[in-house]
Amino acid sequence: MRIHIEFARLAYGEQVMRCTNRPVEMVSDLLCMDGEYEKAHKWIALAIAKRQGDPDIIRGLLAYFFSNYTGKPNLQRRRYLIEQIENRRLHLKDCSYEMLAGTCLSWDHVFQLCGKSFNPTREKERVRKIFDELMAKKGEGSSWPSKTDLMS
Amino acid sequence: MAKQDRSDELKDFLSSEQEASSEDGFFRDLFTTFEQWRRNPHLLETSGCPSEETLRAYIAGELPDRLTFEHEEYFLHYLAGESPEWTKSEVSLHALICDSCSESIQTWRERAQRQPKKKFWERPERIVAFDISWKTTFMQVSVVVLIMLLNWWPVAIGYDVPHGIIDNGAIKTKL
Repeated sequence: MRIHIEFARLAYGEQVMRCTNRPVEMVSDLLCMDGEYEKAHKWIALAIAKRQGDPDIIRGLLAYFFSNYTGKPNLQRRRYLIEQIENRRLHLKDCSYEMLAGTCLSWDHVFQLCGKSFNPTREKERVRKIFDELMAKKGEGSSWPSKTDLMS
Repeated sequence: MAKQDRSDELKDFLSSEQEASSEDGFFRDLFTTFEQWRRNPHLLETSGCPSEETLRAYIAGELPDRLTFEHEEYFLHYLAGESPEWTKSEVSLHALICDSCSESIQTWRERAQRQPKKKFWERPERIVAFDISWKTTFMQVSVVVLIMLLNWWPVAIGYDVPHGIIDNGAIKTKL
């Protein structure tokens, strides 16, 4: 059960990057079903940040995370991916964990992939702020942010 | 020159890796489970590897891009570790913990990239489109011929239309 909910969280993260527009309200209960509230809140914070700001920026941020934090570093895979990005044959909507894992993309490549540059530190701080707000609400006693909280 | 390019690429690769590893663990925590799964694949109770057909459909982007658990009927299967059909996310996550599937995907993808693109008339979707357009054209031509025949049949058989004048194939009503 625990493993499957973790799987669901990761799959949801991939959907956020591909921007398949799955509303966070639809999966929020499932994402924290195993009691891993902190992890679930992080994914929800990313989904909310994507909805509130420029979606492409959060999608780019996720592409960077997937590329640098998952899989063993693989130079051949990276070479192939960079070639695809530079020839504009790859778009965020087609990306997946499997494609990005172990490629250790630089921010420049991520900017190229999402079609715009942004300040990663500021965006990460924005996500953390949303996360802190969600956790504070959780601490106040509400078991889960209400739909209005998620929508606002 | 090529050697220099390679060395720059490797330097860039290593510096990216170093930069990423020095960043805070806040977001990195989201992905720690992958390593556990890699070390203990049995933790992820999936029903084996996807078939070759599924992997090829994944590469071609033909798998459904949805969450298996978003439909009620699939949800119970999902919690029980069964997936009625492979989705894009499931194959992608599976490939991260299964080296053989990952290698197959990468090899087939690169091979597909190297293959010259099929010509317009060789692509299956074009053949279907052409087939549809051919049928549509045939039907349109048939309708036009039928209208022409209906319009000209009195002339063809020399029939005198009682209340109309046949002029150049068109029937006009007398005022």
